[in-house]
Amino acid sequence: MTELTVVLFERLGLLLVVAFVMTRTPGFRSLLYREFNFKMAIVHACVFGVFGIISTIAGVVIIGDATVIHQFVWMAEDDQLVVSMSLVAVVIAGLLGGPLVGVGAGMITGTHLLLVGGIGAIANGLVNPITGLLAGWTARFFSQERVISPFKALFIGVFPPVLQMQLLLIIHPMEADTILMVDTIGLPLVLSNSLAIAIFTAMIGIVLREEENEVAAATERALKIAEDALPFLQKDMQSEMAEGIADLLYDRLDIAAISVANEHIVLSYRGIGHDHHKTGDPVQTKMYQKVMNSNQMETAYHKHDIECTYHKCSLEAAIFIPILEEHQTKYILTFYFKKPQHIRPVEITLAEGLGQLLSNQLKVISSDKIKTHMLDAELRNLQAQINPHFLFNTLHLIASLFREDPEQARHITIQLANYMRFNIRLVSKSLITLEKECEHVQSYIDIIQERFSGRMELEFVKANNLPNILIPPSTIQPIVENSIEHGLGKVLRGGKIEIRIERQKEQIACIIRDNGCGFSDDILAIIMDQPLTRRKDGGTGLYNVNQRLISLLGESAQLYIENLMDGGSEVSFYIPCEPAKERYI
Amino acid sequence: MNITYFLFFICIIICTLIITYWAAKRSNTTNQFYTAAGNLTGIQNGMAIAGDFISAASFLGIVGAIAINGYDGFLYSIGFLVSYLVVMFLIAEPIHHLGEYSLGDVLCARFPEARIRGMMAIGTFTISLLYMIPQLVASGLLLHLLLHVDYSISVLIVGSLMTIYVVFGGMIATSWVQIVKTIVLMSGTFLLSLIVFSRFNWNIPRFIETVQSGTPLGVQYFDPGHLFDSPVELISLQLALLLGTAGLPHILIRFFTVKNTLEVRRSLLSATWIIGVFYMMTLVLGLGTIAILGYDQLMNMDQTGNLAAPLLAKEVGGDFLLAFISAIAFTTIVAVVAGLVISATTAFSHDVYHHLIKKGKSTEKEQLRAARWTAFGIGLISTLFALRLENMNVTFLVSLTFTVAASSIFPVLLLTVYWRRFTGNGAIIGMASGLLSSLVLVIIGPHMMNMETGWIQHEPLIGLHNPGIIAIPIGFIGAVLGSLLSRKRNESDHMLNVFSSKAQLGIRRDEL
Repeated sequence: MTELTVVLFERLGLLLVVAFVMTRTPGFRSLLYREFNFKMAIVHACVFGVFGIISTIAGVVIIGDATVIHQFVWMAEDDQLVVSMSLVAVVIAGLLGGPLVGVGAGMITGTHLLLVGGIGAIANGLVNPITGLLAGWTARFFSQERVISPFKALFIGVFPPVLQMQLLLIIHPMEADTILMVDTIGLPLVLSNSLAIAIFTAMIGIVLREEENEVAAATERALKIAEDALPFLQKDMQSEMAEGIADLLYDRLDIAAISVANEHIVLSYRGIGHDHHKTGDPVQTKMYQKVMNSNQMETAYHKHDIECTYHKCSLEAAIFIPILEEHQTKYILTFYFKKPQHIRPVEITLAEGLGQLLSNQLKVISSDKIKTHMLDAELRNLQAQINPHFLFNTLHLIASLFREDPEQARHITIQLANYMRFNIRLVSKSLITLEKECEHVQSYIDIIQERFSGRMELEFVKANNLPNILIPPSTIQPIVENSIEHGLGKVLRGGKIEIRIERQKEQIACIIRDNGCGFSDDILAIIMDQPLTRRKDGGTGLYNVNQRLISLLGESAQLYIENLMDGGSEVSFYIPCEPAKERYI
Repeated sequence: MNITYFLFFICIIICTLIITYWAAKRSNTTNQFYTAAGNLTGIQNGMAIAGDFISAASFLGIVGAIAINGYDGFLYSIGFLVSYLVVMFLIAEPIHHLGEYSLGDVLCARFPEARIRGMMAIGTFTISLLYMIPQLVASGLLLHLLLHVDYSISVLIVGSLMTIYVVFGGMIATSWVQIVKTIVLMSGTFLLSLIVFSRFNWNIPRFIETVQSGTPLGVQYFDPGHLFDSPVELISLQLALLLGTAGLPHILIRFFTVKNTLEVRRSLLSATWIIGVFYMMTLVLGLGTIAILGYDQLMNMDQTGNLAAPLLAKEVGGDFLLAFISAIAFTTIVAVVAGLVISATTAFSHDVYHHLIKKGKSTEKEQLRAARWTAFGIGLISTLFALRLENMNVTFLVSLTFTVAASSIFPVLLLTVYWRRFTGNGAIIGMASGLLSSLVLVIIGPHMMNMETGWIQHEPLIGLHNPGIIAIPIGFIGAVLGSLLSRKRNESDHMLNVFSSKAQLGIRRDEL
């Protein structure tokens, strides 16, 4: 008995090596992850059945008087009993795949054992499918886990050999040495089988746990990618955004190809098959429609689901991930795979996580945009309120000009009308052309120049070669007004304001310079960061202008304020003169 | 000790401890501790009921009784099985509807009085303890015979195992140990029966012939009258078996571990089937022992017949099969005693501690702590008792248990549920009279009083070994008279209607 135990343990080691190698292959792993269906059950049954046959071959043969023959088992004589470890494979099959897989694997192994022959061939053949069935039921009855714990498996593993011994006793009751044989092989089989089943279960448990870890890592990766994708998502052009995202994902993920599409066309494509999957292809396949309608992720496991028109396309599986904006699918990312089994739970988790994270990023960006919109609208409303003093003063001016210079009075009246019309329109637009803005400034200057004709000189120099860029409306006028009110407020004669708009290489510079008193140091320190609350400090004018420039054109368009060496101050801002682009629709 | 035996025992112990560990992680509320949170399915609960019910006495004792006495031995099986009809049709569903954790809850649903709860707790406690001690003593003797372990060590092993299951795992561990036991027991006996049949080439007439030639009783082996010579004795025993199950607290509290009426019925159906099939197999094993071993050989090895099944296993399957069957017997014992410990624990910690001492105001944590300490205490006390009683004949305690259950708990439960004129006084008097009469009748009966081996060396005052036929009517009469004589009946018709719709249909007061 001791000898047999030792031999069986040796063989057990051999089998576990095979099992270990098996669990490390991707094929076996993908077997584990697949959801249950009839076809997979048959595949599983065959795999474990073959493993069972190997176990039988790796078993030993004993002759009636308990002599052990060590060679591999190919055939057994009539007086020999095959001691097989095949039950290990069958039990694992049943525990893992349920009764159907268990019985399947048991039938394969059992048939082989019947063919090998020897004493107890019928019992050996019968015990395998029965064990498979019982193991399958046990798995269902005892646990909801995917793989039961090794300790439970150790316990369950005790019973199949017991069953086998009892079947031997049932089917061959009269042979005198059956009892002797059962006594000899019973315990070694119980020990080796239960241990083997426990170890095998533990191995499978490890594989599944590795999978869980991978999933956790995938989640982390998705977070990192989503973070890195932020700059691309902020792009205004859909195509630019798509290119960026596609590059990023193709670079970071181990996938055959990726496409980024909006609801109509493919915006960008990277990876295998780029010769026939082109940017600009319309997206009309069923899968896309399904994703678009349900806003849920979809997985295509068959080539025909991808509906590629090119019949030699090597892509066979894909995950379609919707990126939502306001509960509507705005973009669809598609991860392509060469083989369906490349899509493991990790990929699914990753795709799902990425989809959600990117959707969230879009949400954040769009809520940022809404916030900016609201701020801008508010500021424009403020700007549109015409200072009543300005209006009354101008009307008085016109009234006095009627007698002296009716022509000039007419001109100023028209300028006032232009100025006011502009201000009324101001509320409705967030960006206007530079030309319009210049007209506005011109109207203002004309009115002011006439009013303060003796006190100050206003000069408006505008270069001729200016491209037609967009700027926030009424940006220059408040700066000029600030100069008049505060810079030159106390100057009675010889005041000078110079407004220059000129091209400096790739940008347009707007410079407003006066020769007044300049900014006091304490105001200069805070004027860019907070609205001044006291009217005599200049109010909110410059602060508002600065806010709007930054929020609409970015940090680079901010105001620069400095006091000049020879008295007075200079306020300037710079706008890049790339082709005019509407940031917001 | 043989290594094969040892390994099988270790395997069983480890498995049940794993179950306990797993259960301990989810026994964090009283609901989980007392009733496994009602989460068992009907079939699981049915298996657990069978596991709770089929004691080592059934498995080993009945096989032996059949082997020695033929037909009369099988009468025990019939009584045990048929008793489930009483449970199913009269008791099970109302108990599920009325109670929460204990039988005290059931009675208090109608008579919310402290004394009634106290009385019920005493009844439950007595029955569980009375039943537990013979089980423990038997387990000690059995392990001694099978494994040649010292009697006191065997009792200590079984006692500490059952205590561990209940203290840490509560009802969840108990249930699953019982379920595992049922599966192992059923499959083991089934395969052993098949082996017996295959010995005779599946030729049943030849099997019967061999049985007749193997027993000294010959053809009369299949006739009644070898064990019970007086009809009164037989009826008395059957009455106790028939009605006793419906009063066994450890069986009845199992109806709290399922969700709804449907699952209660399912539990009973599956339990009845399992128990029925099991007793059919004991018949095969009993006959098989005679056919294969022969009467003389059995008597040579063991006078009591308790070792019939293990001896049969050794004869047909050698040491390996014997080890397996012994392990099954061991599981059978621990599963039953664990069930008894939890029912006694519930009676004490829920009824006495929570409701009577703390007036229902103890916190969940205190209740759990009390329950665990109670379980520990009960395990300790019963183990100590069993250690002292090694050389006493305690088998009469089993029949006493059934008699007490049938004469005190069963009448009270039945009348509470079905009789509208029943009163709290009636319940107290009924329970007390049933309990006392059965105790007194056993003490003056031939078990305790006889000239040779009795505890009291005196001629027995009554000749009945099984006093059920006297005690059970006394219990009923006590309950009825107590109700009729007590004048106050403070239940309105409305309250009774509410009660009976809750009992029969499970409709709560707030749903009416």
